[in-house]
Amino acid sequence: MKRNILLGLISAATAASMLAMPVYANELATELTTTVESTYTLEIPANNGITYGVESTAIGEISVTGNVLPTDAVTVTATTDAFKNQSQSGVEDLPFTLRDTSGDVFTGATWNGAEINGQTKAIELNVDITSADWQAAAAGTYAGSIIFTAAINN
Amino acid sequence: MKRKQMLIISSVVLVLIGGYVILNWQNWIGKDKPQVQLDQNAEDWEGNRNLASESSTISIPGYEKVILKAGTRQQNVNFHNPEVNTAYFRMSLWLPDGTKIWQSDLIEPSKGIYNITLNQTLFAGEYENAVLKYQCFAMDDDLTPLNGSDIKLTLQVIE
Repeated sequence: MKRNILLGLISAATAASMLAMPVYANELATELTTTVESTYTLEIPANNGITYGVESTAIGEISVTGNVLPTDAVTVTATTDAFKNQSQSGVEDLPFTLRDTSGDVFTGATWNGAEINGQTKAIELNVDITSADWQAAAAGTYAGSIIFTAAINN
Repeated sequence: MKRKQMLIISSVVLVLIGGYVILNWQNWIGKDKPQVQLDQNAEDWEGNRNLASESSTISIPGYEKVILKAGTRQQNVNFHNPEVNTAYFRMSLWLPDGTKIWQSDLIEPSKGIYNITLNQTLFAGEYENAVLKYQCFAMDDDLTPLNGSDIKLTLQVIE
């Protein structure tokens, strides 16, 4: 009987010591990394619907919004192509000038990080056609377009 | 008595003639002298003014970098036409030297492109000043060209 009690105590002590034993395992850490690339949305006027004879037509706003680093900036430049007569060949193009609302010729602008992330800047654009160019324009339907080129500058 | 009857008849005839003349006065005389009614809405002519036209914008997704795999023409990308647009996109990818390496067909708003096949394979490296070109078209039968955009970006080609 005493022997059984002794064996029981020894077993219990052994089990308890096993539970308390530290486990020496290799601690493997996985470092997770990700990068949120700067992205943005360039909003441009869709078309340039101009009424005959009107010398200045508002075509809409250009803006840049998105999620970029505060140190990033997006530069937008505009390239215009004169209106071309779609109804007749061999006639002169109808030239136009892109201007902002202050009357300056618009060739481009830069949005800084705060302006992009805060959606705080938009530039309204006008298409200007001089009276002389209207007078000289041959009859027909004209089509022209503007290409807006954008790039992030770090 | 006869004289009195004649007087009454004459009066009645005169009244009838007078009424007839009054009723038809505008038709006989008024035709030559129309009443002048100037349109109060008329203004001094200053040349054509803008007529109402549909004004809309196009949202162009811009990227700083596009990652591609070297040595294979099959690539995974995340290009899309935002659902807010009312225009088709035709997208194309150009190397800095002006070589077009991919072009899509027309992409509707709210549609995207996840898998593309390049015209050629690329070597690993960074290609700065590559261009993702957006040509935009009205969603009409004529596919009227609209303003477009070129997004300058870096192609990062990895092994």
